[in-house]
Amino acid sequence: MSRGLAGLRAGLARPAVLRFTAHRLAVVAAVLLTIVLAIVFFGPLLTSLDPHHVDPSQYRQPPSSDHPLGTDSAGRDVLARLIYGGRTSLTIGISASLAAAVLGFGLGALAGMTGGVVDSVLSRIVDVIQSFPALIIIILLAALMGGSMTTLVVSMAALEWPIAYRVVRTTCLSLREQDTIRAARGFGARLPYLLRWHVLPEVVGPLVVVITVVAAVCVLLEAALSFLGLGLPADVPSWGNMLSDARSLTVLKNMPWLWIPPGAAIAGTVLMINFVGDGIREATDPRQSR
Amino acid sequence: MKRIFPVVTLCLVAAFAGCSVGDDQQSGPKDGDSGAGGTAHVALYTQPTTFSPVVTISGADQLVQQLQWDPLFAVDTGGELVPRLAGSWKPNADATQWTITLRDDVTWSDGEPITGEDVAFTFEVYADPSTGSLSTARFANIAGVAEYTAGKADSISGVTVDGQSVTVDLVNPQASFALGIAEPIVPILPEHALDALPRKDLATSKFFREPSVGSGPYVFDHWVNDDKVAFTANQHYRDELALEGVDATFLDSDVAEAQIQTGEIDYAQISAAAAEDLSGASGVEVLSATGGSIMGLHSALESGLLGDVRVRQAIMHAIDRQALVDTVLAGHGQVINTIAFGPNADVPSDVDTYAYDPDRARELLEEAGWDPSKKVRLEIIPGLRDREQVVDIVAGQLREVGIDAEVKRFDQAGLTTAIGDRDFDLTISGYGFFNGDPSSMAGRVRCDLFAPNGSNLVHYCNEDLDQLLEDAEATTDDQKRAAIYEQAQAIVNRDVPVILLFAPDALAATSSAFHGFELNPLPNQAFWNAAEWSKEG
Repeated sequence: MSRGLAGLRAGLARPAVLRFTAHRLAVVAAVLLTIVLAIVFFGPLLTSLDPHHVDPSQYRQPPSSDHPLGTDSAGRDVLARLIYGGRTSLTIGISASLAAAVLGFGLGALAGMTGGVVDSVLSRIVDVIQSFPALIIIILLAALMGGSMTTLVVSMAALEWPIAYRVVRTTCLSLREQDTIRAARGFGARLPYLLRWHVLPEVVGPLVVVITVVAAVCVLLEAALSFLGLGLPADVPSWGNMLSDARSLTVLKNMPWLWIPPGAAIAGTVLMINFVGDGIREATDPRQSR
Repeated sequence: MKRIFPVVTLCLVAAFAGCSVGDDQQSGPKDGDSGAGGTAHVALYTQPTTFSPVVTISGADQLVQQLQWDPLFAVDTGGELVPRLAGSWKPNADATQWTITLRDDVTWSDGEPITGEDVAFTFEVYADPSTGSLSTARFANIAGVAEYTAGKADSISGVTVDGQSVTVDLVNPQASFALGIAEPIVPILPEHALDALPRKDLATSKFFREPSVGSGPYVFDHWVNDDKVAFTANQHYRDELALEGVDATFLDSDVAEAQIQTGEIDYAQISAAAAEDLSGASGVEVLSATGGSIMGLHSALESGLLGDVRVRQAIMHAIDRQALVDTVLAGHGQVINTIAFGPNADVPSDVDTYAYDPDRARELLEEAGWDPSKKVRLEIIPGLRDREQVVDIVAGQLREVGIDAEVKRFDQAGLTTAIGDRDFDLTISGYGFFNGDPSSMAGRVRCDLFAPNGSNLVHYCNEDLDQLLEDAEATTDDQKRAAIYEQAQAIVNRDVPVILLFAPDALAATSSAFHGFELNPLPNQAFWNAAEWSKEG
């Protein structure tokens, strides 16, 4: 029976795709985002640019044919650092948001389907986590454990999972009372089965939206932390680290090639992720479609 | 979509909070208050940790201590000693005895007179390792110190007090004794406030966090954690003071450079790039002075990582030091190849200049059997843009020759711990007064001056060099002395106890309304003439 329902959903997927493509901005954003991801993750394979190669004789040179985006304060190529920096920033954003979604899905489904004490305890934990500003906690964790990619991903995931948790828990609470679930339970279905065949198809849409929102938040968090000197080590290329050069007024005023590229990359990527998220939300949530 | 905006705002708020430290609501005197001279706002690149001169080697600590405590004499902008508490100081003919006479008109900020007893007390505290003193080695040459520290005497027999006059007997002749207690600065401590405290608790006592008594022109008023330390004019200071107080605010150089232009601060140490940028700005004066300090990378040599001299030589060849001076310092400095440098330092003409040569570096590393998988930390206290850039470039150039270097940031306390634990690979640090007499190198290389009790931070030891330095101190013939120092310089040049990068010029910016500030070429002595500061408006 549930397989039949899944089949029905597959049929409904087509209108979802159609609804997404009707959202022009989302489509444009999706295309641009795909291009950015392709450049960032496959670009390094295609070019010989080295983001770590320092050359003091090329100190803060403006854009030229050798260095299309100029060079930074260690004489490194800004374009190379932008590409590799995007890899760092997006890897952090994507892995932190996926980790947060997995954690949020697991715990949210557990709380929603089980209810009772488990639900109360988990929901209070979520309340506690959400009552603290994430940035402050992450600054604390980064200061205690030292800034590294793992620290950042783990601490961001640990603080951002409540969004996914709430979405999944709410869905589960209403699903739990539905006849299909009661019937499946009556046939002896265990929690993992229910999660796979009943909960997941129901929440995958909203969950993807949550992933996009959290990914955007995490890209911004990384940038903010590295800008403040609390994120990744200074010599690791990342958009936030590149931007931190602009703390110097000299750079801000006279050397726009050092901060416009990473700034535009951060702003653009975050906007595109959000537009795509918007499109997916409208596509998967018929109640909100126009 | 909606959820994102609070976070964006939060990020922006946090980011800009780093750029401008808000006005402090609780500070008392403000500029232009009722006929008073106003408050000078000076920037420190990192937060000071203690007012105890005995247990610190940090520049920020030394600066705030210069406001709080007067030394016997200070080093002026020309590198000469000028009187502070002492009116006169002179050695006997063979420099085995020094007589220091205090001025009669000097008092503590609580009105008590400053006497020779305070000087004797201060020397005891510095010489006594149980106080946690980082300077015991500098006082070890005073007669009777050994008996005193061994607990066999109640006081140092070589220090005799007669009213305002203090006579110091030395074990070995030392013509540089006065300079040795002027740089790094040795402030005189108040015996009447500290004598009752157990010596071993001195360093951590509340007194050195919030001192109630001072002798300098501006004395401690209050801390604002992570923001500033506020000082008020010492009412008992011997000279008239123009300012009502001084606020020392903790700002990294980027922020300080911005705030000097907005007039929020009156003095800041600045980066070379900013010196170019600020030199045309209105309301800002850019000051520079040829520096006597050195900037180098320091390793715990006994840890073995850089114990092999060929590795250290390789690092010298791997770094394009001239390019660092030309670009990051914008020419405000010079490459050096010996610790003591300059025309009077008896540097032989044939020293190795360690030209930038990555191939030679790789050869040396191979000879030394360097393992490219070994991680090497480049430790830095952030806050000064020039230094951060230097470290980034050095890390890149070391990786290019096969040394897996990574930058590690420390705060002052973390670095002090690492140094205490002998657990540091390549720490960038700048200090000292090395462009005068070659004897200035001794503190950094002698076997008996190992940190923490001496300033031989790296624990370098070469007995031949020690012998030469000892011979030089005992020689009165200038030519012979120069010949001995040339040999010593050759050893330092070859052994590379410290990876010498360059001698930076001192660079600072002051607001045009701030007067009396004279830039000292030694960055840790920047507040040497604070008593003469004044401010318009």
